Amino acid sequence: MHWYEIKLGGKGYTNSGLSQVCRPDRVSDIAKYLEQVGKNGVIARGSGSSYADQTVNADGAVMMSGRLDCIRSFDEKTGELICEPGVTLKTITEIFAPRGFMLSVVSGSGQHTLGAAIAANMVGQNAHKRMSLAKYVNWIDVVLADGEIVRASHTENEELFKAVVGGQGLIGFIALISVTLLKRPEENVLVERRRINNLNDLMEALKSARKNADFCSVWLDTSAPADSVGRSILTTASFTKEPCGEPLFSLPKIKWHLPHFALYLASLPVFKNLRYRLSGSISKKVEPYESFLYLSDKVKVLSQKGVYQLRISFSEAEGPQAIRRILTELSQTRISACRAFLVLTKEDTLSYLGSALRGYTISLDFIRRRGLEDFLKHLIMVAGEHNGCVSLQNDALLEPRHLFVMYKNLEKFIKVRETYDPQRKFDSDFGRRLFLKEKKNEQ
Amino acid sequence: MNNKRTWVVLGGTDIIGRCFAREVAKAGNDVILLGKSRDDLMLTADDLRARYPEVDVVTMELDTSNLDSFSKTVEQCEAAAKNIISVFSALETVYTQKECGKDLGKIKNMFQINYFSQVYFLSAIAPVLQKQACGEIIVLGSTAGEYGMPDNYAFGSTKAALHVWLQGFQAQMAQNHISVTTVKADDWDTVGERKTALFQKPLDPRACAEACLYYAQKGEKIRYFPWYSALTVPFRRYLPYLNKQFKK
Ligand SMILES: Cc1cc2nc3c(=O)[nH]c(=O)nc-3n(C[C@H](O)[C@H](O)[C@H](O)COP(=O)(O)OP(=O)(O)OC[C@H]3O[C@@H](n4cnc5c(N)ncnc54)[C@H](O)[C@@H]3O)c2cc1C
Repeated sequence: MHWYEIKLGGKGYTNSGLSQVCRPDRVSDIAKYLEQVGKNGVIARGSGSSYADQTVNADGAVMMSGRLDCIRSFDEKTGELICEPGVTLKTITEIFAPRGFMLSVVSGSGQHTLGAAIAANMVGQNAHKRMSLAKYVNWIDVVLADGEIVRASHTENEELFKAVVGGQGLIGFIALISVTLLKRPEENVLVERRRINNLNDLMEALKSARKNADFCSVWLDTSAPADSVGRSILTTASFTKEPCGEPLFSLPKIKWHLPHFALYLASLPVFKNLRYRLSGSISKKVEPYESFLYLSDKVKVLSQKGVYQLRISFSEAEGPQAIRRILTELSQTRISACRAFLVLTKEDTLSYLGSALRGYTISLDFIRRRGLEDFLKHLIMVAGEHNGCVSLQNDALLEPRHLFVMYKNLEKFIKVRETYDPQRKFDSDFGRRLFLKEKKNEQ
Repeated sequence: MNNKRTWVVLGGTDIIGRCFAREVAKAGNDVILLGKSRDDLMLTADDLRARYPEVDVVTMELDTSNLDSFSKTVEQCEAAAKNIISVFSALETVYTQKECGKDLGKIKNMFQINYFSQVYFLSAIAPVLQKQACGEIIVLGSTAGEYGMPDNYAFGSTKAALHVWLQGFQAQMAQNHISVTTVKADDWDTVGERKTALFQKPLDPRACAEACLYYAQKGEKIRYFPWYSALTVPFRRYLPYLNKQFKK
């Protein structure tokens, strides 16, 4: 049992800290490591792709789940997969997609670990159909602060389950997971890309996508002029029986590692304009399901300058207005996002800290620069005015006062944390940032 | 390597052994897992079966405190193997110098596992491979065996002894067309005392397992993982002296 002193940071390079790091090899080691944890507690870390301080614990401990990556069993009849938390989504797809199974959530990257996907209550491009991964989780075994392993599910220890799911590792360590993999209806998907001129057209198109498409995501041009706010490219996909067309030639599969400059280019209005104009007005393509997945993994941008992500969920009623306001502000202030996406979501009732509402979730990435934080805080305020909810997954800027307004089940989460971990053995920079007030209140 | 193999994986319950077993199972080879804990062996075996149901996985307990029992284990391996036998050995236990200072028994324990167990086992299985006149042996070494650092020189010396033994063994086995590959993994990952803030990326066991198989397929004798350690190690050999200078 070894501890290493390593400086760890979030994927966005906005937060980092020197921590004592351990990597348990087996589930039974978790409790032994927990006994050795001192000041500032410990936080679980999967592949560390949360943008901000979710897995950073300066002067504290970090427990990596990467080595807990055993699959315990798989039932071909029911699709029940029992595995440890360090198994990545990509591994699951690689092993089980050829056998006709798929994970219920389709995320941007396959590098995420299953434990983290549950702890962050991940939603994907099919969130309007399937909601989050938690819906398909049969049970989880959670190692609590005292080292005891407790099973939680939708029916057993329900409150603990709802707090751990989406709880960002602040309640306990997910040590074992039972999740149902879905039968994949077909091998291929029909992917359709459409250029859309403005927000009104986009909202209309999204209405039909919500009903008909299995997957849906929208790339937004955040530097579009005021009269064409909402200019975008809508990608929808549905399973199809149609065979894949043989390409005339295929480019070698290279994983691009681009420097920071590429991200900077992506945020330039000229680039966005070009991307919008170069995409055909409508295009259709049949692709194998596996190659449609994990698009973010194909290009890796190495930016150490710092990237903030703001992910806000709005209801169906407030969404169009709120999104218009945000996009208009971006256009007027000329603060361009280097990535901007919109997905459709369903109401998240499975997690106390679930942010998704039945409506729309907009996700905006910005390169760090002077004055940006104030602007993003302003956008958080705008979100609050439209009853939106800022997701905790990658957030770096929320304050405790926002939580109380945006998360209606926050009290329940705090109560569960108080019950299972009153000493805050599980804590992180993220936990101290957002739950500081709660601690102060106690004192 | 055209034919299907039965890979005997020593240390099949540790992360690197487990990753290697997955790697070879993915390619359709059968696996015999050797390790000390029955529970851990079952865990790895279940994992392999769930991932690759068509692969034959056998588990055997290995008692590293009883080296004489190894010849029996080799016999069992031979009986269980349906294909050409190849060996991956990653038996390793690591203690920092501080831990060794507190308990000298830990040094003995490291030699017992990192050196004697591997040397005894490989010597015992060598005739089986010689009889086949083909097969591969991969042994996980360490850059810690290249130079002594104040925080891990006891561990390093176990690896240094192993490296020397493997050089001779490699030459002997080559006469029977058996390749012996020593992969010297960089030790940032394995020894705990050092402040590793400089090297934020610890060794990736999956990539290391993949590299081990690749090097064996190419018939390499000695390789470093990651590859660029081959460039830095010659300089790092001077680190112990620099360390002394800094202390002054
Ligand atoms: C390229 C990219 C694409 C993304 N796409 C999506 C997307 O499509 N949908 C989406 O919802 N999010 C997405 N994200 C956001 C995101 O990173 C996820 O939140 C994901 O959970 C991170 O997985 P990870 O293994 O890197 O977890 P980490 O960043 O390591 O951890 C995430 C959280 O889970 C906790 N945790 C990790 N393991 C455990 C455990 N065993 N027990 C308890 N708690 C644990 C950590 O403490 C932390 O709070 C994306 C991020 C990136 C960088």
